[in-house]
Amino acid sequence: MSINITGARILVSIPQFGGFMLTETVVTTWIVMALLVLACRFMTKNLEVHPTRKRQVIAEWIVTAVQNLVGDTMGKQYLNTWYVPLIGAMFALSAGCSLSSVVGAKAPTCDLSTVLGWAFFVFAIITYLKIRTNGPWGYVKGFAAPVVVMFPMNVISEVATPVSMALRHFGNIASGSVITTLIYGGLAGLSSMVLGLLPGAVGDFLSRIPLLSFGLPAVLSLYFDFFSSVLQAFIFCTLTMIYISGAADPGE
Amino acid sequence: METQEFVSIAPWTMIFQIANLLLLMILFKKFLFKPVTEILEKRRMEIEGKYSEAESAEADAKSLKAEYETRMRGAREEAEQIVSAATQNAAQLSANMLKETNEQAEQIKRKAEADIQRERQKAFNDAKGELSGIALDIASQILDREISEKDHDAMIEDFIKNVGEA
Amino acid sequence: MEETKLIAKAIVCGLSALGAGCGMSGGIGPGIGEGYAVGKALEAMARQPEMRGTLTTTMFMGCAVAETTGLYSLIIALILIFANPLIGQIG
Repeated sequence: MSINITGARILVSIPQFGGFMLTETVVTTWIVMALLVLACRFMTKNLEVHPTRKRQVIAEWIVTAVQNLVGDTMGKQYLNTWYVPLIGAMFALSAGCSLSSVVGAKAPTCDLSTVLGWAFFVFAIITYLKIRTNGPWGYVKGFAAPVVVMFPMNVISEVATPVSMALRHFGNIASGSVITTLIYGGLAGLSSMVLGLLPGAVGDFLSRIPLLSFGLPAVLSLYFDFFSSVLQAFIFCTLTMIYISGAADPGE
Repeated sequence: METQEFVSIAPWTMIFQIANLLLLMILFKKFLFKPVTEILEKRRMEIEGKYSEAESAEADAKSLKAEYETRMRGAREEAEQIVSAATQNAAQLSANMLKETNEQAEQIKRKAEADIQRERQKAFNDAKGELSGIALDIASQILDREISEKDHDAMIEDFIKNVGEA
Repeated sequence: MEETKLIAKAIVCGLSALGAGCGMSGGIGPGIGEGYAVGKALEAMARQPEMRGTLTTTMFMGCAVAETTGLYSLIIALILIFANPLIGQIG
């Protein structure tokens, strides 16, 4: 009985082309995206001014909820911008990717590259907004905020923003995945050990089936897969919104 | 199959995932947020239209009511005017009739009085002529004497006076 | 020479596992902190039950942010176990 904890499988690898590789992570993300877009298409098919279908009500609820979230956290002036679909897409993609582990896929958010990419994307938006708000010189001057000596510290804390966002998300999902794997492995080993005590061919047969794996992992999955996934997606989006609205605020 | 390390950073995966996020953002905007926002906006417009319609209908009803009230007031005034005019007319008419009747009655009365007067005068004159003849006869019979013309007339006058006074 | 390398690898692996275990003691801090935060949130909920929704959301947000330091130690432990950079240095 061996427990294997590895990263994503590499499906296509072209080392000559700048180390290009297509991993399981990206493919799973594409599947999740396809499902999300199909769900959107289904929900927004034949929209009516007087809704009669349940799916339209759900679509309206989702849109209103995202708008309310953005409006409450960032401010009303962001309601008709690209930030609303960005936050919606970020939440849906993050939660969807984390939840893909429910059906047995390796969660794309369990790959540090994924969340680090998103975090750097958010960091790029934040930096662009800060430069636009304060001017390039004001942006550089902002690092020497209270005193000039603080310059390196401020640079580190600025860079720590995306890194901490990514590590928080990755750490939560990865710890869940590791613990789930360990529990499965442990229960399988335990069941083969316990059932192997039965005499004869019956024990030999039963010990090959990890019977004890039923039950307990489902309860843990409820926390690690569902609760933690949605919560981390929500936190990632909330932090994004807070950073963006803070960066666009000239008072800083 | 080859696998990555559990904790590893792959630049191409990062690029793919950023692209995926952007792509999903655009698709969400196109397929979810834009149509739903449009339909919500449409509903809001419809509700506003209904509200303004209701408001205009209310205003119409109010103006209609005001017009009706003014008309009712006018009609009532007119009716009062008509009634008062009729009453006045009637009063005048009756007064006229009364006056006329009174005049007629007065006329009839005067005429009757004049008639009576004339009849009386006539009767008096008749009686006077008759009486003077009778008195002359009686006197000539009783008084066996010649009476002068002068005394005669005086006597008659005296007699008539007495009769008239009687 | 091979034997020396093997012994060196064994020492690095063993000490890395020990280091990962010790590093996970960083989980104590967030545990205490989150417990404190949840306790305070419960107090606030008992005082103002109508603020329950906001308090729950904010509490989870705070817990998730407070968890970060614990997650850093977790990631250090994961790196030490699954992607140990020190073994490569033995050559």
